[in-house]
Amino acid sequence: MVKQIDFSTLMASSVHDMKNIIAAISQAYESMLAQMPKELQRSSQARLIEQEALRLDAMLMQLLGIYKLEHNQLRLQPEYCRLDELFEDLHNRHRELLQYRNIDLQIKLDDPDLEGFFDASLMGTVLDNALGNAVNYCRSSILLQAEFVDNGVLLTINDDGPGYPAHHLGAVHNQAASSIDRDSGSTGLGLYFAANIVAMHDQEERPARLELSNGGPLSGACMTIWLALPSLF
Amino acid sequence: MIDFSKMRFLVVDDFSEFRSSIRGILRLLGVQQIDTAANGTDVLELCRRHRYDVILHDYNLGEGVSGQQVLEQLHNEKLLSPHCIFVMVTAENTQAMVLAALECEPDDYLTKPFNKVALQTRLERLIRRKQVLTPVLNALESNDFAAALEACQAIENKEPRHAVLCLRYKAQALQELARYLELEQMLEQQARTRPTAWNLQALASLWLRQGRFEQLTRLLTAATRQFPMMPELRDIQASLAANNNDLPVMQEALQQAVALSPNTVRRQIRLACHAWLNNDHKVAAHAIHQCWEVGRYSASFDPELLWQLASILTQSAGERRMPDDAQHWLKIIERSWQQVHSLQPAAALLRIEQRRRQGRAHDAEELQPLIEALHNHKNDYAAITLLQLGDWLAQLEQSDAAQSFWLHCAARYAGTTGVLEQISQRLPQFNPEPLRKAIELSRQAAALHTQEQTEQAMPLFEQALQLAPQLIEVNMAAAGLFLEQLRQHQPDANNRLGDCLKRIGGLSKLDPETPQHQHMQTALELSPW
Repeated sequence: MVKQIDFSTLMASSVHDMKNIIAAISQAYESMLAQMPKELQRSSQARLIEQEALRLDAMLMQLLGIYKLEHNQLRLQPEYCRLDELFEDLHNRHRELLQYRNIDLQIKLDDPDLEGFFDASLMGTVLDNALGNAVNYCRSSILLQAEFVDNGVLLTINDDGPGYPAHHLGAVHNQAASSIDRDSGSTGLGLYFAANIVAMHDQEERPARLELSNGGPLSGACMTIWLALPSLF
Repeated sequence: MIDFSKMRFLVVDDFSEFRSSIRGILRLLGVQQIDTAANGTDVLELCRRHRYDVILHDYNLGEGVSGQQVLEQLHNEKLLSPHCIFVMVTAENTQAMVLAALECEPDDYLTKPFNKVALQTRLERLIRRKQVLTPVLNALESNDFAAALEACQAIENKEPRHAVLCLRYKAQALQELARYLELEQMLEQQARTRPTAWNLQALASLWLRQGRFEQLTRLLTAATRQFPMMPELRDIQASLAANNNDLPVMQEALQQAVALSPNTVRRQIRLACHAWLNNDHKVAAHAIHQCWEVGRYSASFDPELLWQLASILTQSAGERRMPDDAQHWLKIIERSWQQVHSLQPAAALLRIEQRRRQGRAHDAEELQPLIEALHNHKNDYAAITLLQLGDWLAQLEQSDAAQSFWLHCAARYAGTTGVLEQISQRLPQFNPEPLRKAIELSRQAAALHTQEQTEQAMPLFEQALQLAPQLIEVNMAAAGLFLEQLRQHQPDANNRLGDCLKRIGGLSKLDPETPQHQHMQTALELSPW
């Protein structure tokens, strides 16, 4: 007898395979690129391959994340993370593209040794998506900022584009986010994922916050995330 | 930029494509010396022969040992230099896998798949960290803890931003130097300002030993709320419950820890023991079964577990014939562990019980040599094995022999919560009071010792040892003090330490004190006489 598997489980397992395929292709591409002539290395086609591979991978990560979220399999593994390292990783993943598109990425930390307490891999996915969005909508600049606020860290992603549509503005809660029209495309889905991941970082009496606004130092779209630092007593 | 060209790498994965793709990335980074391995045995062999700078190790190696078990074994055999960077690679970050990977404390872990840039940044950071810590790690490698402490201090003064990297090594050095009060102060301050998993675990175990139970209870409540996913906190909760002689709470805490991180064999062994002592044979059998499922290739696994499993399953069947699964485990012991001399007579005893259940009378002459063989190995068995051996002997109407095993269990394992109650049920005339008194004295002494009041601790240990010379807990606690005295070159300390270890004699690999016991044995052997 054939065992019945529900569609989402089937999809999740295919997503795993797809991620591995992308990784294999990317690795082959990287070793090929290293042997290519310089002008090909700098070509727009090379950037396109990198950018699209990156986007595909980020989308699959998010898809897998949402699958786990809905099946209650997503577990938080928070730890102390240096914000300079988090931003460096983020920058690295988008470096070629930012250079190619001539986008100026500013990174600001109010203390070079600032630490946050969160799940670096999940928060990395949230910020990856947010940065991807900013890259699409900005004119020429993006700001990544981290500050120590209220015994927690406040992360900001700000760009100089047209900003969020009015109906997205304000505090985003995961319950509210689930009512976001999830058919409206990747922005809605990304926000739904982000709101849930941020909410998983809630601490008793000190809930994590996700807020969308327009303005900020670069006067475009501005996403802020506040995450508490642990305190026992 | 970090120069990778002179570093030696080991890449471990059971899939050859993955090994070659990592090798490809490493070549792009300029690495020239890359060894690869597909299984744990090869890893251990390679690590015995070479000193690696970086090991990239897949967690899930398919059939056989897991990355966690390889890392445990590398630590056990001291095959990893503190300078080596060990990165655990996981294919999928399920909770069991991530927690298991974290529990054996690799330097970092990385989720597959990753690309060149991600690997490069990660490695560069880890290498830079180890570079900062070089003087500390050098001192630790030569067991010079005073120098390690000094080196930590120097880093804190010169580069305060790296101070956080030193904390753990500083704690280790203070612990080894028996500077418990400074250690306590440092850990408590950290718990207030920057609580982390290791720090809370270290503070909680220190407070447990110091007997500061009120502070410990408050800490555990706050810490489990803040870090609900930390199995180590539940372990300490279990120890606290054990201290209060509260077996049900202890079992519950261990079950919670096991639910969080099921792949750690030592914890499953502990759960099996205490669930059985708590008369929950079902949970005990399940825990042992889990040891087999996840840990049969682990260095912590011992076939004595399978005997316990066969015995528990037979016990649970009442007077009916021996269940098939019990026979299955017995067969495995008889076939695969013939060389374990303590185990074969124990298996033979269960076979006689099997025949008794089939209505076949046993031969007294057959039993006598068996009892003798069991007796010769009586120091090799864990607490619940001794109790069950006694139970089967009693069933076969060998009441003197049964009683001798039960009493031997009491004399050695009275410190294990639940043991004395089990023995009192079997031997109503048995007086556990002297043993209880010895444990109380020994725990008081251990608390004084870890509060640096050694002078006051000494006479209490002596009294306890007089009351209960065979008790493992008392001997181990006293040996801890004597080991320190040995390091401080106090006269006669090696004799006192040697006497403790001699009184303990053999020790079952299932005993939670085994790693510490081995450590002491080595320290004694290395000490100049």
